[in-house]
Amino acid sequence: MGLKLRISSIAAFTVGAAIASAQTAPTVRVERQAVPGGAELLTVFGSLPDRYTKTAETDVPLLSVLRDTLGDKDPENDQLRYVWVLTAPRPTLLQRAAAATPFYYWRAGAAKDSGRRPSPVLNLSAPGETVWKSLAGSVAQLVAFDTNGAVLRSATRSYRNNARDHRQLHLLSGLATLSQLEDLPNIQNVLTEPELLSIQARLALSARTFGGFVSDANLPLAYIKQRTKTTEDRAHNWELLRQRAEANGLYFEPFGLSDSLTQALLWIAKDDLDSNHPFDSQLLGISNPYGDARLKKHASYTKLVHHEQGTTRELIPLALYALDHPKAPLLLVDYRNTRAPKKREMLRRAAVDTVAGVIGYSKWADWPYLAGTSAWDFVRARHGAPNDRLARLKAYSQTRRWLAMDPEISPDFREDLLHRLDALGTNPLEDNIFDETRFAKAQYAALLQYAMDPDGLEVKMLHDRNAEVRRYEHNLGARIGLRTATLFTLGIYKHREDDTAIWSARLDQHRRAARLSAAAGKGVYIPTGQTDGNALR
Amino acid sequence: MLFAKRTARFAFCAAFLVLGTANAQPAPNNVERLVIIKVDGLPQGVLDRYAQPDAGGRVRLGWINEIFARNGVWMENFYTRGISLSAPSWSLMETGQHLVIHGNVEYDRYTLRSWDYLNFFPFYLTYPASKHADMPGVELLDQVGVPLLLDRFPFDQRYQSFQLLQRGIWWGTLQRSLRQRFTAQPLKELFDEWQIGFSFSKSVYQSTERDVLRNLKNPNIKYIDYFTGEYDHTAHLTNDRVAQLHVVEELDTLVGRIWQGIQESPLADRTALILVSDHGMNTSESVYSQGYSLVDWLNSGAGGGHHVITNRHPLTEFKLKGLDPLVSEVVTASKESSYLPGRSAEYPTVVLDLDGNERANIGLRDNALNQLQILVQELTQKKITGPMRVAVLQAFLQILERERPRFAAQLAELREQLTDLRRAIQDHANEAPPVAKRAKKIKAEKGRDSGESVRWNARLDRWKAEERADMEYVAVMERLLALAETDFDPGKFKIEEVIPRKSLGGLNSIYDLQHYVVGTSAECMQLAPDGSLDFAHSFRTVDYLQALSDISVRNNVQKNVSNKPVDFIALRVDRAALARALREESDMEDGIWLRGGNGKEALLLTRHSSSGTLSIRYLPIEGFKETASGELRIQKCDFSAGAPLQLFEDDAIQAPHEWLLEWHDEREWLNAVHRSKYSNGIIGLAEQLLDQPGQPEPRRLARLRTDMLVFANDHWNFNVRGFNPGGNHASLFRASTHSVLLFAGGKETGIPKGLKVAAPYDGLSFLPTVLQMMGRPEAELRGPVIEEMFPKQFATAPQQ
Repeated sequence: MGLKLRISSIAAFTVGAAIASAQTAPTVRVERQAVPGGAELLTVFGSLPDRYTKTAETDVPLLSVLRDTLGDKDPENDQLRYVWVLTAPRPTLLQRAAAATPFYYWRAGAAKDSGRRPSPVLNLSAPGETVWKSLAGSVAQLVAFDTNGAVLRSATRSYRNNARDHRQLHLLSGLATLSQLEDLPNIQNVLTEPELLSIQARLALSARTFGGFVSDANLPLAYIKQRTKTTEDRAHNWELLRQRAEANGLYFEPFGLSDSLTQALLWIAKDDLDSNHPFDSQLLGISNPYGDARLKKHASYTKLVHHEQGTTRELIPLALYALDHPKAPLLLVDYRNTRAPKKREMLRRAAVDTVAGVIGYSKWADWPYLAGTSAWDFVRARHGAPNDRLARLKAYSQTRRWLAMDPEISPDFREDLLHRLDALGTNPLEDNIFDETRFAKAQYAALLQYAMDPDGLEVKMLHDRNAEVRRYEHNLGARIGLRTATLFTLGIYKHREDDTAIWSARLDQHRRAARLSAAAGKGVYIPTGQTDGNALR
Repeated sequence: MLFAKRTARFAFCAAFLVLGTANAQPAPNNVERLVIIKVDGLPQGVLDRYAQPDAGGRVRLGWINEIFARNGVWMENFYTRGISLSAPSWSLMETGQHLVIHGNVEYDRYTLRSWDYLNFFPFYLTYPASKHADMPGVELLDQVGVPLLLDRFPFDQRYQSFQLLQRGIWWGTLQRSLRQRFTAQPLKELFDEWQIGFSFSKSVYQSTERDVLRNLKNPNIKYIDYFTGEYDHTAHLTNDRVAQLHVVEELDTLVGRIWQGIQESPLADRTALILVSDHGMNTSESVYSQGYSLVDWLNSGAGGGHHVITNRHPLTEFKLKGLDPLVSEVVTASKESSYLPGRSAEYPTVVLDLDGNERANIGLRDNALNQLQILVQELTQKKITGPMRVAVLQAFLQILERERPRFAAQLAELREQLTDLRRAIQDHANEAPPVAKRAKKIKAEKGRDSGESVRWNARLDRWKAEERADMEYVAVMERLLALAETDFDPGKFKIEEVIPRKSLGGLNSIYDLQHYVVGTSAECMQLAPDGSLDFAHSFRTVDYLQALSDISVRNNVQKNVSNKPVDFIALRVDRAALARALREESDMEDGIWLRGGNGKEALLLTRHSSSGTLSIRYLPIEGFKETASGELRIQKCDFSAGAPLQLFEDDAIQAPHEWLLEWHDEREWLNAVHRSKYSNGIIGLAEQLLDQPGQPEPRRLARLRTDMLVFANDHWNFNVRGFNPGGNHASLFRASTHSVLLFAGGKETGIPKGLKVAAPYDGLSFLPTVLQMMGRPEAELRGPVIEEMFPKQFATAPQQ
């Protein structure tokens, strides 16, 4: 018999009446912690399910950002430094070994030392670093590994792909967490609008190969483009799925955290199972539910909806879709065949791993192969196939995070959904979402310890400030020269700016000037006699 | 250094604006140059919201606030006249005449030739082959002899950007946009753009802006415009406040750059800058606009099983065919067609114009042609025999006789039009074609082409094609009228020889729309007791007015959105029948029947004064019916809530109920209702559906009419090409009709500074006002001048 479910926005599927979208309380909060050396650690706390208590822990540290304030209270000269996604401890040796095993698409355990100091997923003041590392890895792959036989090639490619996906999973998970801050009242008191948008833009850009090279001045534009694309995708898929549900005689239920409708469920009325309603599976990715014997025997979750005419219908869930996906909603859970989406994902990955890893074909080295695959992908994408691996990963990771954070869903239903979603994981480096609460708390404790350690974060920050002054005061050629001198003297010579107090003052001036210049460069109207204040965006 | 330079430039402009405020007002009508920024779909509400200081004192649109709100004229209540749709609205504003264009795509009922006003790909791609010299909207306006604002300026004194009503092509701008895409910015910026996402349209806009700024420096150029569709595009796709605001902020900086360019130009003191939009946008941050596919519905058995013509593929993005840039006609075949299965290419029976999406123009094939085709098919294909054959044949001849006068009148008019067309072709051919060399020379000199020789060729080709299509239709209809009993021997003729292919034929009456034949009944042909054909039981009919109102959906998941996609349907009603039915209204012209469902009906009665002023009366009614003979049955009823346009219950209307039921001229109506939910819809409906005095070539334009105008409910849309959840327009809702008109100018232009005009005006006032500013008023323009801008000329205008 059906359990009473709760998703606020599903409250009543009354035909002709709107489904109430509950105004839920904020699901996240931000805490500010002073850090010695003139900085602040901003930590986002939210709700996550716990494996052991089977309930949602409401105050789990999810993500931390370091803000370098130069020790004052003026926000005009602040600089954001690092982002830590606290739910992501470093992988174990076993996980790394599994990640290097070709065609191994399952998780590899979670016995982790989550108390180790977490490493930041992103350095906001030097985002290009990760691009250089990635490029170096690609060159090494091409030169050293690809030419040494199929075993080494496929193992290294497999590991690199898994490691890259793992990083992106956490970047996107961080992005999903941050997106909830936008709706938070008084968030401006903790994170200014430019700060919030620059973190989000950097996280999103970091998922792109060369995204780390984008200038700070273009971050607002990057944010807007990304936000526009995201909102367009969500709205497009919401509407597409609603219309497909209508045409196929199904029930459509969008839901998400706060007012963001990021996921949707399709249901079928139990009474309709025996009807011969026409069914078109295009863009839905599920088989015809009418007359499906599996649904007639469905015994787990159902819910009741009330129609305007006074009738009540029992609904059976069919599928869960992510709406944050380009072109068409991404099927994440097929209730009649939970493993089907994972099988499809494994097949896609196996095809890529076989061609690039085992056979050693490269699109860029084999033009007929490039032309063939491009044409095939184009036609498939045109018909709505989810070809983009990063987009699939994004949809999966964000849905997983949002579902986990949503305290409004009934615990049983959420657990069921998360289990089904977790089954989709194909990356050995990935962790079970039900362990994340434990990881996050331990990681946060380790980070605080590092922040308070006089030889810890404070020293690292001074080093970063020094480098920042160099960037402002020396051109690229000079910086290369100084770096070369350090390399040639085996580190004996290290260029350092003047006394800390002097260059701190200079840094303050540089940061302020950079902001004003960025505002003027955009052509924003600046009233006479006013060169700051409301002219700044 | 760079920063200091930029700051100084901004400070200079701001100082100019502040000082300018203090200047005394010079004599008006001294505008020598017009610079018009045309923004498709920009709602006035957006500017009201962001060009004023917010709670924190921050002005998001600083340039627009400074230039127009503080130093120019701010029209608080400027509205689209007619439906809030781009092609009609721009055409009305640009010509100052009543609507010639009534949709974004229109079809000739007899030949189904399409006028696809928004599709610029065929224009650009076929221009070199001399197929088109202008965008289709301009071609139509030329054909009926209505000039644009642009045409008031000689070719070498104007610069027109890319837009819907484009005359000729500026190849130079296009070439430069491609070249400068990669050369006009530093490599690092190009790299960043690659990572963030390239936009081709941005390069065209940037190139256009450079051309605008360059032309500002040339004192000989007296007309410059810049068109952008970015806001409309974004707002259709997303209702996100930030995404929409970003587009408007970009517009604000563009306005600032152009204003700077004007200040540095030789004609700065005599240049007027105008910011104008064609319509608003019904977009809400908290509601998605829900789509309903009328194509699917009309394809379905419930909708009649029609083969439907649209100008684009439904769900374009999911089809390879959707990539065809030249498409202007797509037939979506019905799988449930009763009598035309597999014949969608020859016999589409519905045309739809859905663009804008909050309304649909639906054209159905002449009901009599449906009946005749069904009967002919029975006779020639099913080989029925005996009494049934006799009955069917008699029924066919009976219908043909019944329709003969109407068909004959139609053919007579078509023949007259053909005669006129042939004369025009002959005259045109006798004119010497423009010397291509001259056009080439201009092109070489200025990177643009006046297009005269292309225009000459294109016009000739188009007219010849029209002549051929008309002749073909006439020939088939003549054969149909000539059919006699003896002609029905098997194999004597093919269906397509007597039933015109790809044609809707004449307009349907309201009776036809309520008894529309969509096929044979489930029992097929039935005989009446007297041996004749039992019409009632032989044909399946659909009452479209009822069926459309009855459409409802199951998945309606948003608060305050109705589960019924259709708001109301508007149809034109013949004046003679109306006068007979209502008796007391003797001087009435054609009226409009509004039907929002059972018990939700109203009539709009219209008449014109001797001076040409339109007057309208709103009449609540119920049980409107038309008999087969064309007589109307109308019952007047009490004025109550729920009737179309919601005049009764709208608190924003500052007039008593009794006043609303009386005759008033359009100015009085506009003043009374413009702030209501349906705004100036009562005038818009008359503009959209009825003939207006002085309308050019009414016979030709009548061929483009559809049968029904169906309006979507609030936050519903009829888009089928893709999905437009962000917002839509084309309805009569104030959100969609409330548009932008702002003026500012140099110190000799006489344009008032800091003037806010609260009085409502609509699109017909745009051109007369602009020409008045230039001291070139034209008496034959239809709309009133915005008098508040000219306090010295118009005694009624309030003094500043």
